[in-house]
Amino acid sequence: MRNDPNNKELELLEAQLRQLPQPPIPAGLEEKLLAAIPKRIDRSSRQRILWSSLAAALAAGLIFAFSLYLFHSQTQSTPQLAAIDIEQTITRAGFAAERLAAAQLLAQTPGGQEFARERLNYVIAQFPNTDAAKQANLELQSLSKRRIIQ
Amino acid sequence: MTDGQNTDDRQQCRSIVRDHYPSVYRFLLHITRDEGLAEDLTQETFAAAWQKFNTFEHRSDAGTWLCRIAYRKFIDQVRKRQTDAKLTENLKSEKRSEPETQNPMDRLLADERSRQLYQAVQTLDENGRALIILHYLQNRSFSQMAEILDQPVGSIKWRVNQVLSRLRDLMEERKPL
Repeated sequence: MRNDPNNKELELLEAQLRQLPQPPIPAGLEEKLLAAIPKRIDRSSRQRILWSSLAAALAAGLIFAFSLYLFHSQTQSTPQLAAIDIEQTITRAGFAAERLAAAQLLAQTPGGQEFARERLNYVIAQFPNTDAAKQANLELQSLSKRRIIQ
Repeated sequence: MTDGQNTDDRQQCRSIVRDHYPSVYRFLLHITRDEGLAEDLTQETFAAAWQKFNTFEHRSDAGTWLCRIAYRKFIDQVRKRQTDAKLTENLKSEKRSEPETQNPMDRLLADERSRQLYQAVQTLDENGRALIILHYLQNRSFSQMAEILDQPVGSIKWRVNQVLSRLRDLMEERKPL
């Protein structure tokens, strides 16, 4: 590969570089370096690093698993439960409103007030904590006042 | 850790010092061109080595590992010195034809040709200088050099050839007419 004169020159140069003398070492340097060796070589830090890494990996795994669990419970279970709850609430409110409306109609009908009172009590008992129950309570008080006046 | 194990470690450290401090010092002397600085950096290199002793995986030999630390120390030093105008001038004295008075190599180079060659090496940039010193003056293999200089083996081979050609050109320029 190195047959041309340029390569011969390079080979000569390489040989000359390899023959350059080695500089002397300053006196006392070895003693200084030996004296600077620490009294204790801490080998435990490597193990500490290993254990820390393992602990960190384990913690990361646990966090990941918990996040997955939360994600699944939020994206699947909770929305399903929430939808059922909302549906039930709407249905219940609808029933209560229907019965309240019927009771109000009966209350306006001559002779229907006793039936209206029964239905209003039913709404209050069966659908507590609904707007219809509150309205039924007011309606019942109103009916009672009218009865006293009469 | 037992006392026995610690004694073994200290013994190993002493062996490492005895086996490798000359080559670390010489590498630093060639590359810094300053005896005092080379001595300081050698001490810093070994101090750093003891701190990192736990991470020494024996994937490379101790000499390569120490040279790698030494080269890092040298690079850090160059960066620090770049803020100092006077010292920067010393580091950038590639064009200087006068020999370095601080460098004991100049006293050793008896013949003119060797003196010129060593001076030409000193005019190379830091990386080029490191390549020539490691490969030709310290007989390091390309893979060891790759580890020390943190460069791919292919780049090292290519760069060594380039720097060698540059040296040849420099020697041509120095030839008397």
